[in-house]
Amino acid sequence: MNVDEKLQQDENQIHALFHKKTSGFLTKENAATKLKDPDNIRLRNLNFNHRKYFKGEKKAKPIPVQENLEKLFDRKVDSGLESDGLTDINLDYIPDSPLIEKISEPGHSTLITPKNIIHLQSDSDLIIEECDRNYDCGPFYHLYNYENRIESDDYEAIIEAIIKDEISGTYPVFERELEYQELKGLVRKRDYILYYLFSKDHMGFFQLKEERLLFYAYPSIAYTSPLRYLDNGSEDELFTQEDDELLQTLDFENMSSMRTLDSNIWH
Amino acid sequence: MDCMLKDNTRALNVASNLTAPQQRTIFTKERISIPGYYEIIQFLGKGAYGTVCSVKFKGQNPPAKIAVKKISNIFSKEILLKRAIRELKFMDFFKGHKNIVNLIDLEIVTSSPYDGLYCYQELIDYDLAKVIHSSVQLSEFHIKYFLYQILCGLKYIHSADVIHRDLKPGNILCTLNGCLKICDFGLARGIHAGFFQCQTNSSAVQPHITNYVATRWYRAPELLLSNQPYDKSVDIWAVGCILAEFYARKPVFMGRDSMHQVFEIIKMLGTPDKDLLVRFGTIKAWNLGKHSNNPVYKKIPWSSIFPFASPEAINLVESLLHWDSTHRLSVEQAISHPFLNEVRKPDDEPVCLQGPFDFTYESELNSMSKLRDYLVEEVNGFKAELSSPPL
Repeated sequence: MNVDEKLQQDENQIHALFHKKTSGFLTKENAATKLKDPDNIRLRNLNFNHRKYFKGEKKAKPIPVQENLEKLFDRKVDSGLESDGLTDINLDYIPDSPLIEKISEPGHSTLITPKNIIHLQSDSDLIIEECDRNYDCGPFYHLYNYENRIESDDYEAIIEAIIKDEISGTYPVFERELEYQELKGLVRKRDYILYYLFSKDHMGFFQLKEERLLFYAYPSIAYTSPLRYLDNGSEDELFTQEDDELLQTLDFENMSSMRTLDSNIWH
Repeated sequence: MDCMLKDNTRALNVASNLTAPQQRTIFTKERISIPGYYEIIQFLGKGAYGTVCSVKFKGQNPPAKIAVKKISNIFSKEILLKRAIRELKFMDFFKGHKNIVNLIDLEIVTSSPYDGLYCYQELIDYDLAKVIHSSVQLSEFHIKYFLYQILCGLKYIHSADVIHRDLKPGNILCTLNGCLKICDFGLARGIHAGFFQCQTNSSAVQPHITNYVATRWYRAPELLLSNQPYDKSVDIWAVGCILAEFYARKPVFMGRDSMHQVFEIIKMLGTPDKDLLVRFGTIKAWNLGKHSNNPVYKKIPWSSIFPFASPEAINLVESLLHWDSTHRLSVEQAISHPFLNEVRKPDDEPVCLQGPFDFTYESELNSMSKLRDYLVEEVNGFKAELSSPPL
């Protein structure tokens, strides 16, 4: 190899290297431009039936949100619908959940055999220890106490609400009124004896009765009580000995019949 | 008690006859019984409401993960029954919209100790609160895309004359591919005046919706300062708070109580006009005015709070977070805002074709047995629709 040939070869190598770098840079730039393109973030087609058509094709690049989320939570995360890699982005989103379609499939499945009515799944299959006690999901997402628009220290609003209701002849309804009415029809003399002698409240009627009495005795509670979806016992904190003594002297048993109740019992 | 149990059993037998699959998968420790074509993957949580676990279809590859929520003792709890009926009615009414959460299946199991209402829903791991309050980098494009989806869902809800009343990042689920779904209709209310007329049998209709409005940080000023009826604009305020939260990466108005919440808003938006305070019609609102001893705050421009946000974003935040509810954009106006032009698909912004949501059923459910029967009917209706062949 002579000098000229050597120089030519070096020049070719440098050119090739430069060209390679340039094209790499351009590729990155293109990718960056592409990411800014609104069409790059699209809902993927969630219908699994389409997967087979995409099989073998080049997989789509993950969108930044997904990358970030995966990085953030730093664990293998299933989207709930996909378990393996990303598929191509389908620009035509199918609104109906594919799972709604899928749910009808097992009805025709051969897996169901009348001989084997109950399948007992082994406890060891499941990881109970890792169960997150705070986890929640829909429906009935976040079943906690909803606040009332009127707060307990907002005396002006409470008085205004009382006056308005007096004028219109309405009154807030105890949120468990129907439950109370049903239990009231079911409770027997025996239950009264058991409760007053042995403090046994099997049906929870007497506790509910006390809550109801308190609700109707104090307008501030009636107008400001939060909507509790959970019976977590926090209502017990409302009761004090003083309240109990006061309640003994009052008879609000039939208070609801004394007034025209607000017809809208749904808050 | 016998009477109640009899009622329960009768109602539940109707459901179980219709829905009972031939084979069941049972997990004794957590008292879960699900159809045999499901396989439990993991227990996700347990609380006073019941149990949540993830399941998949047997032999399905790739497995589609589904969240199963078992709600125990629902038939003896009035508040749970009402909430279940309301939520299922709304989810049924809004089903099919891509930005509103969809229920996959429902089931009432009667055999003890597995008895309860079982709800099957696609498993969505995250909500928007987790995304916003994480270290995930959100570009303005992401914010546009997220906000657009929220507004699409809200447009559908508002078109049925329904107010969500509890919009917040925690109630917006987020899939890994960035699809948002509004959930939690526990506090939603229909507000169509025609149905109020039906309920009251009165010609003079004054829509009366009660005071329950949750989550103070996203509560509109009129809910904090006024006792007068409110409208869809309370949801628009919440959307404005969410948009601002996207940029701030934390809630923008974090009040400790209702008056502190008002002051948090005043610090950002400035002291409201006297006319508006008069319209609120309360002493606490009047006392906030310039005539009182309270310091007068000037509005802080959103552009100085979020200097990195685009002018369109700033303009939209201002249009959504307005003291006066009548000056806030409607959901249709918000969706047409230039900020969302880049991500908008006008052909894919449906309204609810079923018309306004009919909530007159509520006035008919005046006993526990009627509530129970109604829930069973709802579940049966859902199952029947599920098994009917697609159009």
